[in-house]
Parts: sequence; C-alpha cells; structure tokens
Amino acid sequence: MTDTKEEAKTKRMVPLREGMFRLPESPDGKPVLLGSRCPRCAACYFPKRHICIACGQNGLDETELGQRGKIWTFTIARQTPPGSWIEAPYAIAVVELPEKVAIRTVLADVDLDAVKVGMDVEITLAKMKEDQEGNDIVSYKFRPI
Amino acid sequence: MGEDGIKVVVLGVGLHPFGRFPEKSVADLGRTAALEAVKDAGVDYKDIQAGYCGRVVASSGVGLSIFEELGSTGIPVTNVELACASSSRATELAVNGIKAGAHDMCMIVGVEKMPRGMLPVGFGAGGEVSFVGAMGLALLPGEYALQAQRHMALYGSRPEHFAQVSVKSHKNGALNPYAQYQVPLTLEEVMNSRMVADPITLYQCCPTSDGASAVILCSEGTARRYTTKPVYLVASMGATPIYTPGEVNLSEGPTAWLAQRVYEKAGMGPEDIDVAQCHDAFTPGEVLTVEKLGFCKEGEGGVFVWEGNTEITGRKPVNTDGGLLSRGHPMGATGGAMITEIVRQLRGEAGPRQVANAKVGMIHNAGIGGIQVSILST
Repeated sequence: MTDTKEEAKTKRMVPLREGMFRLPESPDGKPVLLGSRCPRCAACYFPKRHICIACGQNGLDETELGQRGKIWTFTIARQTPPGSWIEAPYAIAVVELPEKVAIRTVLADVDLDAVKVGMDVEITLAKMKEDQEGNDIVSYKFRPI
Repeated sequence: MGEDGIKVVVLGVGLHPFGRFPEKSVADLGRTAALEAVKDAGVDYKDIQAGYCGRVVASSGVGLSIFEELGSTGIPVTNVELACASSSRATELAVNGIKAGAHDMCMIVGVEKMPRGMLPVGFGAGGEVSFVGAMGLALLPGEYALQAQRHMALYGSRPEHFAQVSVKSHKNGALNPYAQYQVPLTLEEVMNSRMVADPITLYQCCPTSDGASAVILCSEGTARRYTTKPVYLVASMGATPIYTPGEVNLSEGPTAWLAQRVYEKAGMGPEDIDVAQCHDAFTPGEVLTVEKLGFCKEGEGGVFVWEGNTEITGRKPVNTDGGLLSRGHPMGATGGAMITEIVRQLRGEAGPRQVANAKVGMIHNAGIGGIQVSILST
C-alpha cells in the first residue's frame, strides 16, 4: 500500500474547516493561521470576527498570524471528550502569538511529561483523517521548537 | 453606602435532594423543592405573585409545568437560562422585579435532569461536530485545568492544593442530607482517582445530577408579616468577560471586577464575609475564586485552601454543604441551592455544618455565558 508519485500528486488536502488557515503547498509545509486585523487600531483576533472589540470598527481585514508562539498554559486531556477525532491522552495548550492573540490548540510531537508554560512552539500541519474520496482532512497543531 | 429603595428578603428556601432520580420528572423535582420553600416561608402558594424558573436543558414551558403543580393562579412565569448559574441569574431578575414594583412575593425554582458523563459541548446546532469538538478542545474540565496549570506555573501552587478542595467538600457533604455524595474522601483517594485533565482527577470534578431548588423572595415590608429575623438579599449582580487587549481570559467572567462592584453596592468588604459559596464545578474553581473575592491575596489561593481556611471552622468557610463537587450539580438548580445553604447559615439552621456567628454570606456562581455574585445579610 505505498503511495506512488501519481497518488501523492492527486491526493488532496482538505481543511477541517474553511477560512481558518491557509494550506501549505505540500504536506511537508506549515499552515498559516488566518485571523482578523482591525484597519483602524491594528488589534488582531483569532478566529476571525466582524467587529473590533477594542475600537468598535465594523469590518476587519483578513490577516496572517505568526507561525511561532509561547505556551501560556496547557493541560493533558486524559479522557477523550464526546465528538473528538483525537484520542486521549493529548496536550491542549493556549499559545500566545506575536500579534497578542491567544489561541487554543493541540500539541503534536511532544512528550506529554515535558510540556511547560513558556515553551516555544511552532505551527504544524496535522492530518486528521481521510474523507470518503481519499483526501486528507487536515488541521493545525503546534509542536515544540 | 447601602442600597436604596425596596429591600428584598429571602423568606423561604427548599430543595429536592441532588442525585439520580430517573423515575422523577422535572415537574416532580421542582414541586418537591417548591413545597419545601412554601412551608419554610410560612406562606400559601396563592401568595406568590410571580415565578421564575432557572434551567438549562428543559425546554419551553418547563417553568409553567412546575408552577402548575402547585396552583393555577395566573401569575407570570419566566424561564431563565445562564447554564450553571441559571437560578442565580433568575434570582437577580426576581430581585429587580420586586425593587421595580412589578411584583412582591415571588418564587425562583431551579431544576435539572441530566444524563451521565461528560457534557457534549463540541457540537453545533444540527448535531454535527464542530471544529473545536473534532480537535478535542471541547473539554469542560480542560478550562479549569488550564487555569490550574497557569496558577501552578506562576505561583508554585501544587496539585494537592486543588485536591484538598475536594477533600473538604466531601467532608462537608457528609453532613448534608440533601447532598448527592455523603461520603468523606481522603486526599489519597482524591489524587489517585482517574486523571481527567492534569491536574484534575475524577474526584475533583462535580457529577452530573438531577435535583431542584426553590427560593421565595419578598419585600421587607411583606416579610415583617412572617418573620422577625429576616435574611436580606443585599446585592446580586452579573457580568460577562471584559476584553482587555493582550490579556488571556479563561474564566466565565470577570469575578474580581464584579465582586468589587457587589461589595460597593453592599457597603462591605471581604473582611465582612462570614461564609461563602464558590463555583467549584472543578476544584480550581475554589482556589481561584477565593483570591478574586478578596479572601486572600492573588496567587495564595492554593495555600489558603491547603491550610484549612475554607473549612467550616476556618477563617472563610466555603461551600459548607459540599459545593458542586459533593452536593451535586443539577445545573439549573445550583444557584438556588447556594442561596439555600447561605440562608440556613445566616439563620443558624445549618446544624452540624453551622458556622459560628454567621451574619453575612457571599455567593459566586458561574456558567458558560456569565457569572453572578451576591451578598446576603441578616
């Protein structure tokens, strides 16, 4: 069951949800989070929103967010919640990005006993599962740098 | 500074025990609590001029179905939802109704019937799993665990500090015949129970529950006909999160900010509080809230609990009836149960749970959607 070059070229990546991140060119690349930036006061948000809660501006621009951040806090989920595609145990983290945006995410490629507040992490593509056409449904996680 | 206008008295309180009652309907649970409150107040149901029903899951018409168990007197009945703080918010609305002169004596019934297990919060309106749900981020103990981990990293608090909340809670619950769990637990039993989201173990999570609470309020003038020792609901206010650029918020609402406003309205401070209820859906709830209510300094909540300050015999008794952890948590009923225990404490009717000389009580109740803070006083 090896992927031939043909299969690798035709196998598409489909985002778990549209509009939250930009897919990388290839499965080896990193996604880019897409948030909102206020054209008036420059405040940033993720996920996107329509109105700036710092200055009231109605109508925000789409913006790319930094791919690296620091763990502001975390926990280790030991029980898989209803509906989750990810099986416990796994690490949940709140990551602070350079735009002063805090996002909630799951950590990848990490020793669960080694997760610490303050760790530097970077975004990474996460394959979640295959859809019925054999495409990879992908999302984002963060992993230690 | 005190409050202006009509003063509000809590005239009667009642509960249906919290636990599992599969054979009972929401109306059965509510009726039992309501009857107990009516008897406690020494009134007749026909004296009730308005009804409020705090509940989360039960749908349209539930308030009426409960009040109609007692009578069909034409009063306005309003369903109120604020997740785990539903009957607290319903109580504030009832207070405002009395102060506005819309009605005098009224009753707030809180009720819930719940399935077992983790609440399925990661789904959209049509039952489809959401992004957050699929990514495993819709984990309710997770929110409190995230706060606990930050607290441990910043202030050096330890997992056993949080676990101690459950030890105290179950010790108190064993003294409460209405509690879902009436069995003390040791620290080892709490810490060795299954880990759910580090550092929160299974026994540091509140259960899901069936149950009901009922609170009867009236004006001070009306209360004089029924009691010579009224308990006043001095202040009750609610809030939702306040956006502060660059700050991360994991809490249901701005507790410290709201507590400050409630203290001002009551003309009091943390030093005046003799007994309290905090939202301990998971143990970090108590550790963090005692700081935000000003019972101890920021960062010292873990040690404050660990050293026994929130025990019934401590400096600031919290959740003397077992709290959500041991008393149970039928979501819509919890706010009214918090009021019930505070009222019993202030009346001197808390029996083996009695805090000596309790004259002023404080309540903090939180839910997905906001928080509520109240002060009661003799």
